[in-house]
Amino acid sequence: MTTHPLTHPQSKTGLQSLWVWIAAVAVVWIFQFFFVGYVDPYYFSIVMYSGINATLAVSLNLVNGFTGQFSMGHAGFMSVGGYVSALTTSLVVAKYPGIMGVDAGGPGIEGAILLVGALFLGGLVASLAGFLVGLPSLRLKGDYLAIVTLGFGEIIRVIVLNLNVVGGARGMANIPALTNFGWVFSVCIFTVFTIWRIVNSAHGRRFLSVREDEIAAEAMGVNTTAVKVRAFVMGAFFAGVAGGLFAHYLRYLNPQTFDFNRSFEIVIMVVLGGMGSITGSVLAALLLTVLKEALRPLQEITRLDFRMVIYSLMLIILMLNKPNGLMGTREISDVYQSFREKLRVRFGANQGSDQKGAKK
Amino acid sequence: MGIGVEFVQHLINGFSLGAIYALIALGYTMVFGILQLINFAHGEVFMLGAFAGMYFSRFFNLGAHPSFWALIATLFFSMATCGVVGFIIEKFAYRPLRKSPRINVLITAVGVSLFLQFSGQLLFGSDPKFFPQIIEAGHGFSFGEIRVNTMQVVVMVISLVLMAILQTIIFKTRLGRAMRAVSFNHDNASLMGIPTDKVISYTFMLGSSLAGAAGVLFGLIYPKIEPLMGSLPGLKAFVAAVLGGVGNVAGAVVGAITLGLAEEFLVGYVTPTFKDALAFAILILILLFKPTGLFGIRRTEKV
Amino acid sequence: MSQSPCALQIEGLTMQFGGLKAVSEFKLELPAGKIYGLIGPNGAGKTTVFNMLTGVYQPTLGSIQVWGQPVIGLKPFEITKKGIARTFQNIRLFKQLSVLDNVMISMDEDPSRPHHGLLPSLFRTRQAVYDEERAEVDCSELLGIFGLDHRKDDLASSLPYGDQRRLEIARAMATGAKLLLLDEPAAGMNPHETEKLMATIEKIRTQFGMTILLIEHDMKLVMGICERISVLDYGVRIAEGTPKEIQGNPRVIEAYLGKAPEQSKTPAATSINTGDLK
Repeated sequence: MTTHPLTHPQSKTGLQSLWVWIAAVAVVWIFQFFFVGYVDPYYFSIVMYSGINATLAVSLNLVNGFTGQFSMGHAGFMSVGGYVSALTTSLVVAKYPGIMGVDAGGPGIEGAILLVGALFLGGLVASLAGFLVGLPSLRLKGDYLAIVTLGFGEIIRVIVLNLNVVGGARGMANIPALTNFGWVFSVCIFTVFTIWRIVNSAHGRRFLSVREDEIAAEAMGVNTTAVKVRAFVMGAFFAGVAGGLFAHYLRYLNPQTFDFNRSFEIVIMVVLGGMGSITGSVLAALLLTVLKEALRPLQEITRLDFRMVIYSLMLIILMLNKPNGLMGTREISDVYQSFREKLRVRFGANQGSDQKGAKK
Repeated sequence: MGIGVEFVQHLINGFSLGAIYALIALGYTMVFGILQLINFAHGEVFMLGAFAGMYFSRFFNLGAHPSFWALIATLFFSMATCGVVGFIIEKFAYRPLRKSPRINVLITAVGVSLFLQFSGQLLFGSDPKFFPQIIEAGHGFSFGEIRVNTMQVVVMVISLVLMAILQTIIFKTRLGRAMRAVSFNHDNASLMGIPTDKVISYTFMLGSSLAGAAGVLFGLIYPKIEPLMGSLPGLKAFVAAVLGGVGNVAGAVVGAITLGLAEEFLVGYVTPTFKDALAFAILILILLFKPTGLFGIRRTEKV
Repeated sequence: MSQSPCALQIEGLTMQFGGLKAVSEFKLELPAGKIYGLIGPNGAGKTTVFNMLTGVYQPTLGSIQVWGQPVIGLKPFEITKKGIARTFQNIRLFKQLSVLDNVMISMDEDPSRPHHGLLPSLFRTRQAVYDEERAEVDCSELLGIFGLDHRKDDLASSLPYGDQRRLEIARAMATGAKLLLLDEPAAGMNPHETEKLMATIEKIRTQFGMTILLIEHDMKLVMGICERISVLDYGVRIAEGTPKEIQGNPRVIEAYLGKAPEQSKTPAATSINTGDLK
């Protein structure tokens, strides 16, 4: 009806097209159905943890990197999501054991529906927790907020420790094995997709404006309060879902699973990758998950836990020498574009005549 | 009758716990006052203090000859060690970041804290170690039914003496005056010819040595020490500092005693389950409703 | 109310910090389409007035009406949506974002423009993409007025100082507000840049019908483009009038230069006055 003086193709780069994302999910499920059985279980577990960690890191980046609210309690949200979804599936499976498909050789479509429902519920409850933690962020900045989120994580841990429904200190065992490769990476892709799209929209610019200068953002009409709470709620939702996947993969949870070190691991992934780079978070999550396993032999020989020493040292060295992390705020699309630009400068300038010649 | 006795007993326990928190909180508050930095690694300095004390007293076999002087020597060694540790942390981790964004310094501080925790595990082993009894437990004192054990008296007296010394340094010496000037306005102090880097170093050393003393005193009351022991008392002491108004020396002490008492009464009268969560609950409430703490000064951002 | 649309009406505005009255009983009536100035020595309370107008401070007393609507008690972002936007004395751009993003952030908040929820942004519906592109075009156009369109992809922090000040004005305009508060827009600019800025301010008034209240120390700018000027000293409005009236006002001269000794007062003061104020 209205004349569109500016009609545009929906995508500027491939990453912005919905089809790329759908194709990625399809590839994941093809892998799940045809190839997963052939992968060595040990390497497979590393792949699974990489996917879960990438989801966690990207979701924390929304809070820490894009909105600039330094949170150190992400494991707390993961814990809430993990316990809530594990409790849900455990109760349902206890009542309808058929879902687990012992005869059919594995959980079928009912199991999938149950998992998705439980993950969603876990995410929802986690985002409620995120809302509660987000509230202090309205009045606190920097160090104070960091320590309060850390405190919230601890409080959640202490509460879980004293909840008998989820086993208290003994932990919660026999969680139905519902997580598979397909779900882990579908969730991971969905998280990246959501956060990527939101960050590159008016909503995302609001997050960024809060990070850059809260007072100026507010003066330009940005409801900074709502933006900050929204960041916490969204970040917590995805952390909760990741926690649910984690629970149904490991099949055992205890309060120590989600202690401060877990939060810290996620923080270092975000910082290493670059606060404000989704690509960086994913890369760093993969890198650190692999590193953790690579260090395991050393750890077994020496019987000492080097991992955290190396992590923490890495963090210090990173801050002293390369505080923007691997990627800074750049994304893979920026890297790709600047790469193309470089190619064009190099070959376009020197061999431009050749190309023209080739066209003839 | 029993109720009153129990109450006084809790009061004494709370005070001695609070005294230890106070020694740690002072370091937090001094560093915050001067750099506006929460030194997350401070709890780990406290842990190192306990270990330094343990190794020193084991080396000289002080556990076999407990005496007042053994305690003083151990305290002194611990404080000196921690002072050096504080100096090193500031010089190599924080000083290079003086012009960096706050968030980078914060991340570094968390990194240093974890580094000390886990390299502590490598060095000392992760199993708990026993802190020798370097002072005779004795019979303590009894006032009617109320019993005060010697350790508690020692802890409270030594804390008081150290706090008095700190107070003197801050308000009666040139160094203290320089510290106050730097904390009031870093740039102006430096323009007035105060060597700010040096003053900051001294502040770290002073705060760290207090944490070292707290480590030894903690070892006296709770003789099981391990490399991760610092993080919780550290965080609690930070809460105490916030409660009293970060940057305020007297406030830190009041906040710490308040927290010690609150924990003791919670455990004694309500439930021991949520003891470790109490500090965080207090922190969140304080930050939400009176972010400047009980005695803090409001600093607002200029628009 | 319909006789002359008033952009800004301030009555008895008072701000008390503890025992200090930073601003007392300030009043001002700014008709739509006018450019007014607010001047005074350092610490006179000018920025405090701006902070009260934009909700950064809650006034102790008084009333403020923006486009006929009371704004006291509203949050800063709500006040902006009533049609008033500001710049900052100590530039507060979104430094690590592009010039374009700086302006886009404001334009996203313009209540008269279309808004999209999370889902349309997530799935980039046709309308959402269209509106986004539209906003981008409008922002570039706006940047063009300030001669910044060729730098729209650069980081805001990479702009020279004068351009940063101009970008702040562009950003404030992008909110859709028709009333701008400019806090020392010419600070740090050289005479040539200031001249250019004066032309730009004049242009946005005539072309876009902006109403402007500005704080400025550069008397050439103030006297050159302001129709009326209010003078603050120690939080009190000591004079109000046309540039001519203000230049001749002995109280203003006294506030700026101090009370001269009786014998040399008139000649000395006026000679410095003409140099400084004209």
